[in-house]
Amino acid sequence: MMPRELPGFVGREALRARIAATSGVTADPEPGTDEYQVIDWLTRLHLLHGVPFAYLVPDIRMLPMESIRFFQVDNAWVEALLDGAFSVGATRATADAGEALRAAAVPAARARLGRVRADLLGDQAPAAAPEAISGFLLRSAAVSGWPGLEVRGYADADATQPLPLLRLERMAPALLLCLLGGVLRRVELREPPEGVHFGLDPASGGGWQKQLRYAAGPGTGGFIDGAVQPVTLRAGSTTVVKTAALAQAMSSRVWPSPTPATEFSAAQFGLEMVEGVQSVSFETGS
Amino acid sequence: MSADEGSISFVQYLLPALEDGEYTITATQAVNVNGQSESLRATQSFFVTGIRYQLDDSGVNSVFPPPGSQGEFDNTLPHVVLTDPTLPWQREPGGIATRTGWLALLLFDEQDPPPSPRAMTIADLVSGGDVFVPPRTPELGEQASDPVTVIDVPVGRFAQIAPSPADLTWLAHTRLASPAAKATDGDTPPAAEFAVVFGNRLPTSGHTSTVFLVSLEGYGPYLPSDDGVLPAAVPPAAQTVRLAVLRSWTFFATRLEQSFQGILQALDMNPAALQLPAPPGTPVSQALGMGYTAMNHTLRDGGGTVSWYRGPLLPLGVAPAAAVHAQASDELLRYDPGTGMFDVSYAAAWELGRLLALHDRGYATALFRWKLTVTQQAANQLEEEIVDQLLPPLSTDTDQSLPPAHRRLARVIRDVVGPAAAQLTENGGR
Repeated sequence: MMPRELPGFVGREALRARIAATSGVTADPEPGTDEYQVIDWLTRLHLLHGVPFAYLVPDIRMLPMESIRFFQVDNAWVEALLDGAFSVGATRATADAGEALRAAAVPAARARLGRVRADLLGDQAPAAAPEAISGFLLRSAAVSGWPGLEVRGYADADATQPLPLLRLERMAPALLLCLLGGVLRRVELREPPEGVHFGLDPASGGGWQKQLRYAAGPGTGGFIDGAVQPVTLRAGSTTVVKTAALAQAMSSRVWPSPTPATEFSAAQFGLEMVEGVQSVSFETGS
Repeated sequence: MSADEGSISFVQYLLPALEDGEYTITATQAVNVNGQSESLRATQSFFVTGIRYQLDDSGVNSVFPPPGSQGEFDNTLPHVVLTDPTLPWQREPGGIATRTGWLALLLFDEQDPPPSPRAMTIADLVSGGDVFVPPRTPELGEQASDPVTVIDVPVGRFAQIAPSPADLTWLAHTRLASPAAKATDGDTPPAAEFAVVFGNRLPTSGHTSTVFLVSLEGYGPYLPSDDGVLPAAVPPAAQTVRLAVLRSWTFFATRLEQSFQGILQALDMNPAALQLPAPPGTPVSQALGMGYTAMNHTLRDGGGTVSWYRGPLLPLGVAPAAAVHAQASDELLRYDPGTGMFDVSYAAAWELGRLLALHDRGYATALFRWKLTVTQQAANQLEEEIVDQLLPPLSTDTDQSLPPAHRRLARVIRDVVGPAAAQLTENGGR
């Protein structure tokens, strides 16, 4: 047999190049793998999960009681945060892989931002990866008093382009953090719809009244300006409503055009008695 | 209101195709053959049964205020949403206008006090002593031992809070919702039609209220007037009225001083951005306007200074800096020669990321293992390629589906062991 030349050791440069060429992060890593665990963790960190409140709001005077504050998320800050989180476990043996994997894992984590909340809600259609993240902090009794409070964010002042919610979390009983995918222009805070119920409005001089709504026509369900029906109670009671008398009194007042009072049925009465869901909108500066 | 809320229609009532009760169908046919006529006749009776004294959980979609809840309910009339849209009109109170619902919600305040529901049987639904029950028609399939939950309400209280016959027509309706935005239950499409029954009495704030969904079947002639006066039909000896209960729940009403809208409209929005308030024109106002906070900074050599820190939540419109990759947090410290101050924001973020990663052992282990696995895989690959280059090319008859290690072994056998063995045989033969 002819003697052969021995090959040299695997060079570090060759190894580094090989890692960079092969360590592409799969778009949808298998749950249970190390890759999945790392990227999932980084995704949550990207959404500032686990970041202490003092790092978000270094001075509480920035967020006084009963206030709302809007922000955009500083991408460079999050990069530095993820960079630091990726720096652990960097031994000599893994230093080369660390650099290549970080370059692939951070974009992979960003691509999954919409899935954290979607997975939480069991939603099958997660939001697409956002270009930017913005949101608001709300510190108010409205957060503690209305746990089912709903948030809708829009990219425009006319509320035509809804933004996906990436994170909506109560950080303290009266403190709400909201992160949205995109640049927030208008946000709508709404009382929970499960609160749709029948009720009366307190009258200014004590007692009860009811703001009337249109029961027909294109404006059905809308309030009739200035039309308020005082509510009478049963003799000797402070709580029992004289229902038939109230319905009778409403029957001729709720139509956009003259209509016989006999048209007024339990259906119209139900509509009149519904307490609407309140909502408040905020617009951020252009 | 935006479109995603869907819409809802209110309907006065939906009537069942057949009300509960006994029915008889009679069919007659006149046959005429060659002048001889005969009339044939067949009769069949059947019974429609429905909910009378028992309503299981599937019959109730929801109740409001939620059971056991506490909230600003002092202006709320309680209601129950029933899954059967015709249920309130399947029976009648009797003796009053038709198409009046037989179900009603009675609300009792904790000071009334609320009557205790008792488990009884249908046999107990009879007047006797000081208890009054309207005459009851037994129905097919009923047995005297069938269970029923009842409350005994003092007649005075009943007169005060029970709806009048006129009230009753207004307290139930049907709702038609749009199912488009609702969840399905397996392959079952979402329900879109519901019956709603609501009460006529407001809860008292600061008190616990108990609501009963009761059957008023047969009570038509015994309901109080609009002003809460019982008719003479109720026997004077009666002290309590016995009602069958289909559902009950309690809640606690509080009164909040402000409404949802009121609280939110009063929110502090100046400044709207997350920043410290700064008087304009001062030297620091620009930095504060960009979201910076001055923090005490203890330096490495023990000295102290004040440095800028800014969290990840920037005021809208402020351009963020470009991302920089670092090996250690100190690389991200930035120094402003103009003010002589450090900006520690990104260094703090980097260090925080590292601390959080170290704090979570599961993540730190997975990250290290991942890095190590990728390194080892790449090294193995390189090694195999070097070995492959040293071996002669694979002949085409080798099974390509074999793993690389097997193919390599096949080559070693063919190219190294084979010739060596042949040589041995040659030598042995000599």
